[in-house]
Amino acid sequence: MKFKTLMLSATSAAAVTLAGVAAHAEDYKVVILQSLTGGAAFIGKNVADGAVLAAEELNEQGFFGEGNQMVFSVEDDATDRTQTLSLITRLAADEDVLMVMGPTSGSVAMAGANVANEREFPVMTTTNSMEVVENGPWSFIMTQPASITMPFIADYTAETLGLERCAIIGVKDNEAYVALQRMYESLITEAGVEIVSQDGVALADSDFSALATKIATSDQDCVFIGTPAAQGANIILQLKQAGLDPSTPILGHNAFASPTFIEKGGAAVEDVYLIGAWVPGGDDDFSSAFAESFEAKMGFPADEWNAMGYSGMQVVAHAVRDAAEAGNLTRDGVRQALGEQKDIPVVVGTHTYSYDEERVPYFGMKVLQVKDGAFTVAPE
Amino acid sequence: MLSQQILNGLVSGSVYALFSLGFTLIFGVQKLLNFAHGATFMAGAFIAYYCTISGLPFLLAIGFSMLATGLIAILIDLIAFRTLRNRGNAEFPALVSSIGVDLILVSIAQQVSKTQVLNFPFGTFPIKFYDLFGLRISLLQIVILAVVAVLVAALIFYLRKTTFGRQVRAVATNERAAALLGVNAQSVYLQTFFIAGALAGLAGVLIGLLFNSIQFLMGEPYMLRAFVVVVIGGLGSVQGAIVASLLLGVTQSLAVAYLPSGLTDAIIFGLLFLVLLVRPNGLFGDINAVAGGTRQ
Repeated sequence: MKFKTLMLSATSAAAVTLAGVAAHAEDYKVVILQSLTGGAAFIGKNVADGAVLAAEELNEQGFFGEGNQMVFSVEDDATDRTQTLSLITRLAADEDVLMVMGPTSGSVAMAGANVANEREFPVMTTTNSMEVVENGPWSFIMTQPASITMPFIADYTAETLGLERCAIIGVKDNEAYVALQRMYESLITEAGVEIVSQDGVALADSDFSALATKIATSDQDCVFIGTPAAQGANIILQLKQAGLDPSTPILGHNAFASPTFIEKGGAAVEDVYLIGAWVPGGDDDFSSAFAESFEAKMGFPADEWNAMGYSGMQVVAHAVRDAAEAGNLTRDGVRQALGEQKDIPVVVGTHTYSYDEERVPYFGMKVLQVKDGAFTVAPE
Repeated sequence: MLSQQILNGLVSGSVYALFSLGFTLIFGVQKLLNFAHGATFMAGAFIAYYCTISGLPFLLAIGFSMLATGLIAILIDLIAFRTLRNRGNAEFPALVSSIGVDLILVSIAQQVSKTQVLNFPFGTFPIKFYDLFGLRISLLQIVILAVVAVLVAALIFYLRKTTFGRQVRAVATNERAAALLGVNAQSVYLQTFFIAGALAGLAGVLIGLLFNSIQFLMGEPYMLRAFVVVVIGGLGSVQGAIVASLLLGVTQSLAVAYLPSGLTDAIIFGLLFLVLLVRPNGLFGDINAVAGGTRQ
């Protein structure tokens, strides 16, 4: 009888303890909404892969405190405004969802920002468009606007390399890429560099033979290419095959900072200059560990967008945890905490991520050059 | 630069021709727009790529790819078109059905490739350039021009000089009358789809090789071009498709070379409207169409 009483007491005590733990354990629901399909899938899918890895690791590390975890799901905006509007409206109606990491870019991100601000629902879009920030206090951008990134490569073009006449090749059907190109053009023009030609390609294009012949037979002392990595490598290959003077410097922006660029371009992309927030393989302990774990999980090396997704999720996680610790685990609490994030360790740029008073992100850039089939920091 | 750009345009146009021939052939015979043709083209490049990296000799990979895309096209006919065709008034349902097949194939390719852009390994085809009469032309471009010329000639011969060709024209003109004369229309449809699929698959491989890029959305811009080609050339006309493809390729090259960026599509569609104003049935629409007139 005594034994039975003892067992009952022990069982009751254990139940009370477990109930106590359960009562304190919290799930922080965040949705990763990216372009997994459609035209921006080359960005969105990669961002989502990086973000998922980060969320998994943070949960494993007990980042949110014992028993707490981030519950995340991945949704597809399909690079489609209608689908984005529908998804964000649905997610905003789910009171358990604290915020959305996404949508990805262009008009899709703007559409998402509109709904988010109407519904007072925090979203961190992947785009670098300041229009998203200006849309209202509930919409954030994850990547640095062109006004921060492009001076690195524009200064390098005009001052370090002393170039004078540039041909420009950009993407015509993606707002983020267009913004980067326009900023570069504006900066180098101010620095006295003449733009001899401007051409736009579509993200799905692969036939650049006419464009390559045009540039190879024109008179310029540099070529700037603002496209995704694989497409940029392909354009450079076709430029070289069309007979472009091998000594003509070729420059690009941070989209080139991907192993894909070297893999697809081979010897043709040797000596190309670029800016990178991500140094493939990593350049400190945190980023090297990310590179290793990403490749182990996915079977291919991480690129700039994977690293951005991973970094963005670190910032989201810090914001959620800060809001929880402040006892304000609401959408408004998360929104406020997100805008106040400073010096969060990330795997991109100068390895810390901060939002300024205007909610503009900063994490720095490096000018890189392809040397012997690898990215190296470009000579000053 | 002008002659070089014309050469570039002819090479691009010849691959457009390969792509568009299958598209126009199916339209000519069935009066149906096969929106899955771009996905078949993409599948050709994917299959040849995976065969090549698996160690299969490149020529065998091309052959296997053509066979596979021919069979995929047959499958598309069986799944997306045959039932609808048998019910009659199939144009719109078949259009939607083929869009569905296209989306499925593109989604599969995206999953298989993990949204990465693929390319044939360096050295798959020898990279050699020749300077001929001031033109810079690669060995690959020469081979593509030759292969396309041979295939187009073979297809025209097949359609005009063989029993199959006569059956195709008979079914295209009047399926019921052809059936009464003993022509197996279903067999004609299957053969037509196989040829169209194989040509699209080969075009995919050549584009993947020529422009060093294979990705799941690669069929979309070619579908848009194929529409322009079949309308300019004349719906269902094989000769029209060839002429329009070359015209389109050269126009595109010259627009990129000599006009402000972004005007290329406007020029191409402007050309389309111009041709339609002058020749509403397209350049060869009413004299050489496979269908030979309105289908009954």
